[in-house]
Amino acid sequence: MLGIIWRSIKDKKLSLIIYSVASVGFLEMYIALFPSLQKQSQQLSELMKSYPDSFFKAFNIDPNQLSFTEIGSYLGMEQFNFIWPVMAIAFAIGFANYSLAGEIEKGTAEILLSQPISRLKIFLSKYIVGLGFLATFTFVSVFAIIPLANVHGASVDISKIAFFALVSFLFVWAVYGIAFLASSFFSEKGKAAFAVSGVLVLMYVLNIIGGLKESLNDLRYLSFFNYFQPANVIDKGQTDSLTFFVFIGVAVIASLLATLWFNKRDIAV
Amino acid sequence: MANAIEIIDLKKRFGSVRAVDGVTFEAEQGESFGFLGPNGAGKTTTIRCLMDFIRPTSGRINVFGKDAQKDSVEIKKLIGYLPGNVKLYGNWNGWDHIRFIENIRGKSKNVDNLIQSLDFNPKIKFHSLSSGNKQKLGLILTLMNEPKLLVMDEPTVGLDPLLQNTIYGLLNDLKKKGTTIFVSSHNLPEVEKICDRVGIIKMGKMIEVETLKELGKKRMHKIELRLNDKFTANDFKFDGVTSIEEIPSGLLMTVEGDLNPIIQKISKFEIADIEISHANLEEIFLKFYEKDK
Repeated sequence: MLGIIWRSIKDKKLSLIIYSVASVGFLEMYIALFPSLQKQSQQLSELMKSYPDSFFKAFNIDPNQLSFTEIGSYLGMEQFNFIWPVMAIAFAIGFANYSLAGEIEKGTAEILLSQPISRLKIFLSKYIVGLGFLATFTFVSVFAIIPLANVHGASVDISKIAFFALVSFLFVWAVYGIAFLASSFFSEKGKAAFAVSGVLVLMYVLNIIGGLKESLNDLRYLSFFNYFQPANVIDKGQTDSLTFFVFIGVAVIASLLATLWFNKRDIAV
Repeated sequence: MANAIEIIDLKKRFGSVRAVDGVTFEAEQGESFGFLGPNGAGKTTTIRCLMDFIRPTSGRINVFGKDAQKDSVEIKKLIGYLPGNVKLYGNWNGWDHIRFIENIRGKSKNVDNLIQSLDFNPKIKFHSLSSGNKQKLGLILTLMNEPKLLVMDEPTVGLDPLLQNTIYGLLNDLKKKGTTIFVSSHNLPEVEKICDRVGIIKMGKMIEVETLKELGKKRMHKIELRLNDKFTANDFKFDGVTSIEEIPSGLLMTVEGDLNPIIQKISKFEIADIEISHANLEEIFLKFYEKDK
């Protein structure tokens, strides 16, 4: 098991570095812009208020949380509301697909399966490395706020940042669980990626539709994006307890189903 | 002593397609068993069931007396597996692959010998290797932990004759050491070089399991006959003569079973020349495949 873990770390460490550096780079860009935006916060808030409600709903933004005076809610709205989730989702899907469907598609699954190691251990080795990488990516992306904010003369509440890191990790773990389930089900990376992307796009759309019409409001409960509200979490340092229940529940159930399916399925390279 | 491989009424369906339909055979320990059949006959599916890559619809597979599915991890400690077109990690070099297998199976004692005898450079990345060198690396990974059972699925497909002979040499050395060899192929000369016994699979069913000697002894002969008398092909058409081809002043015949009736018939003519030879394995193999057409 350690052999597979070690090789997976070695093979994918460059991806982790690239994703983490890119995320911190975006963060630096947004934080560097913050002081000048803060000075114009009054005008910007006025401008934003003139936007239609549907615009904010489409981008999953709570207009009441819009603030250019607090760095936390500003970053929650800019970096962590769109760019970071896209990167985290891409990283989670990419790693899950490399781990199972990619091995089957390339034919390298044969070398793994012909070794005296159970499918469960193969699965867990890959899963653990991916989860570790996603945790690293999330914590680097989020905790980098603290030193970067200090450099640019802004102050942040460390406990709120830590809480946000935890919620962000649970969000990406839930996505990773679904991605692993798709990867264990399909034998081609493209199909697995398409399936997970489809589910996430559907969730995004449901969240928007649910916000646009009162009668469809309950649809939002089917969407991860309803529970992942970065600006709110960074600003208040808390979130609905349902968020934990949904993210952990989906992550655990999807991961268990993926394990069972991978253990049971035919793997014809 | 348990058989190295024991397959009992193995069936595997993919939807409505019966890839393997009731295959039964066994390979004894220390034996070299050839699994013959054309593409699509069910050889690879059987091997994948044996290796627990895919799960049988029904039937049982035992390897060294243990269940191939339940005791898969235990069994694989004893098996070296080599597929036809080896697919490994493109960005790893030979050493990366060797160390990876050593991390799982333990330190190899003969990897350096194998590298040397196959004249392989393990510093080159897999994606830069020629198909022959890729197969060499596959063979090194398969043999480096000295398996008791070697399972190979068309191991020399696409390789040049020189490398094929190197592989046959290595396999014959392993045979002498008592390694059980199970090799699937549609290449009869290859099987003749390696195997003691063969199983012939056709459309998912095992149609014959015999020693090569027995198979060769099948009463099938080729007769090349030249006569001074006038004759027609119809003079020689009767039971047992499976094919007649006219050649200048003579006939080429394939005869199954008892030779006496045809010899008696021939003796009624004045013979210019006659050559009677055993049919080769290829022709016997084709006979099995033509039977039900």
